Amino acid sequence: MKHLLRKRKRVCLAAAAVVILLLGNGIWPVKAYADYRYDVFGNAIPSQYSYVAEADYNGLQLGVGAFSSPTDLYVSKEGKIYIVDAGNDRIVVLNREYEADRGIDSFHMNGEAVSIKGVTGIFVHTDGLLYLADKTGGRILVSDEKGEIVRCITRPDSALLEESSTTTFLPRKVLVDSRDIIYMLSENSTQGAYMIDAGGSFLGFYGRNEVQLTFRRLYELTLRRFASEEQRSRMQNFIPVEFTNFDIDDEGFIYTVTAYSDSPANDEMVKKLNPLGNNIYTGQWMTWGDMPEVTGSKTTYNTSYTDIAVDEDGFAFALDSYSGRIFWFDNVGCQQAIFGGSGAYLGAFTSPVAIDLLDGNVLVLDGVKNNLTVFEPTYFGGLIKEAYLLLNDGFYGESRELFEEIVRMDSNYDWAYAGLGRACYEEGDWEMAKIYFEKSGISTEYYSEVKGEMRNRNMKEHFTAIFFGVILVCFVIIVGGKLLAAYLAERKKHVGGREVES
Amino acid sequence: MRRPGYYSLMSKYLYPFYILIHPADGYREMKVNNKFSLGFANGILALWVLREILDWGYVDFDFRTSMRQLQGEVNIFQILLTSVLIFAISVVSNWCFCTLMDGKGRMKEIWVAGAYAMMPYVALGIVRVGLTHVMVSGEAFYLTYLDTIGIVWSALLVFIGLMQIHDYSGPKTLMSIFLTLCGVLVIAFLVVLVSGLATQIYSFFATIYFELKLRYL
Repeated sequence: MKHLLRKRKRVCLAAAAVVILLLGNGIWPVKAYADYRYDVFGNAIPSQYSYVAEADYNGLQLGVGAFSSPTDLYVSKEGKIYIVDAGNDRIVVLNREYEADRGIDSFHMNGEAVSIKGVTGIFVHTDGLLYLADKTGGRILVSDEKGEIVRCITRPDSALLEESSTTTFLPRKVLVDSRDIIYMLSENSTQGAYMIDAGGSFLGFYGRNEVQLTFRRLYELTLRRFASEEQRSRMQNFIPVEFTNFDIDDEGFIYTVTAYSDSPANDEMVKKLNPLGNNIYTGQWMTWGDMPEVTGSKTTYNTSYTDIAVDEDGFAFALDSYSGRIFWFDNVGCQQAIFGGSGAYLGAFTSPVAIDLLDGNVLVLDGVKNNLTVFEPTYFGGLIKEAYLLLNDGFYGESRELFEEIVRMDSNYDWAYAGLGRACYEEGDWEMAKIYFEKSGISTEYYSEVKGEMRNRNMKEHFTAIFFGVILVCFVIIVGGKLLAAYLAERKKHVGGREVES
Repeated sequence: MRRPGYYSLMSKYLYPFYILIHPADGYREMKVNNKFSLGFANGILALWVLREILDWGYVDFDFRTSMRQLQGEVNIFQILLTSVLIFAISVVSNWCFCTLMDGKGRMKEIWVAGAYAMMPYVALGIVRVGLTHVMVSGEAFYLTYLDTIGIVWSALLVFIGLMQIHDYSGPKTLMSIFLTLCGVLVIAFLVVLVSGLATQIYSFFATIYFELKLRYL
């Protein structure tokens, strides 16, 4: 009896513990915003949380004094976080554990102090040198880790630049590839990124957006043909929209974002450029930003990308300053999730300026809240990435299990069904692959491929049946036709005779 | 040319198939010898509805291109409206205009001739839906050909059929078809107008009835 009572007590305690655990904040991420993604029809569909804000750090918490309008963020290969604290004229460095490291408080060039208040972009090269894009100074500063400016790149002299309409050299963002070529985005330059080699000479422009032909522009172009010189000078010019920001991955592909687009569903607001400057993010059913109008809701959304970050597996995170949201794209450019938001609470932003990645976490710098927010992948977000990586590496069985888990958690996830279909297809389970491709609503090409494969297999397996079947059908048609003709002739004679009588 | 009356001995159920390949001869004989079957014509119209249903909801996944196919909810009323109802209105409209334009055709003849003319469109449409389950997206152009052939063939049959039924010349037939289309628009407008008015009248009397009922009953 006593034993039983004790047992009951234990059960009660366990139940209470479970209840406390469930009620506590530790179990579920408490968030005031909802993650979503777009489906085939362009509707925003709520999704499971893939990344949640775990912490944010301001300057006081880090013990380095409050930030003042930070402008850019860069995470080096060693895992050091560089924050350009432009208002305080310094660069704050954090280590992997988000603790303040030895920052750079002052910069010197030939013994003279240099202000970095106008720096809007930072890149840290593998050799440890800091490349700073100084917009107000119109130059790129190359500094070592102690703050000594070792190089200063100003507007290069080049016939190419003289000819072009670009006269200003206002470096806004900068990055350096493995060949030490500097790519620089200048304010008001619509011709793409400047390419400057290690010697400081201008190599040319790299990549650029193109003006999309719309009906309105076509109309204005037609109008322009009939306009006088004076009218023409007052008309709008068609110049491509400039890149807002870019990032480079380990393989040397450059990812760019553009702030403005007429139609985010079709335009290439996010691009992956190969060394030739061509976009290789191409495909059906791709959505680059928020839909401008959600059907029926009469609200309009703009997308204004300010920054992009790419991890070592090619997954890209684009930061939208308009709504404070982060758009997550997989390694072929399919939109996987949209998270973040606009507001004052943890995980939302007032004026996000820069994004980068560290150890699978997403770091976002807010220029008005003056803090650094750290997003960590949830179990669900981790599953998505793991599943794609396994799929790309050829572990189809393992990847299939993960995708099954994903669609169990979020059954509205179109791309997960597509991935599940691909895993089944590669595994040889074509029947299931076909079902999943259809369920995804987007993988028409893969669906056709499976259908073709299945058709070929059926043809091979049942060749004899099909062959003799066709012969039989031909035989039946010929003989039947002849019999029918005979019958008709007979009937004609018969009916004809009667008609003559009447 | 075969002697007149040769095909009039053919069964009236096989006769439409003769019209398919010899429209001018066929429609002429159909009129002269009263060689038509209303039942067969209505059967074709029923198949037309079936074709529209199949085309909406039963095309294989990789050939679904239009929004309604992707969403996949078949609306029978919309199908009836866009196929058989439009057909009926066109026949009425055509009869109205051609009676004024010295056309020889009767309403029944126009109906049957029109329904026979839809045969290639309906049949090839059904075949196409079946083929989408066999073919892959790389072979889509075959299906486009099939579709185009069906539409062109049916259009030719409609043209020749009306010409023969009404005993018109080519240009006059074209004119009558143009007027028929205008007539369809007018009829559609009238239908909308009348139905709108009817709803208002109904609601007027219904309001009076409920008012009285609430007050005195």
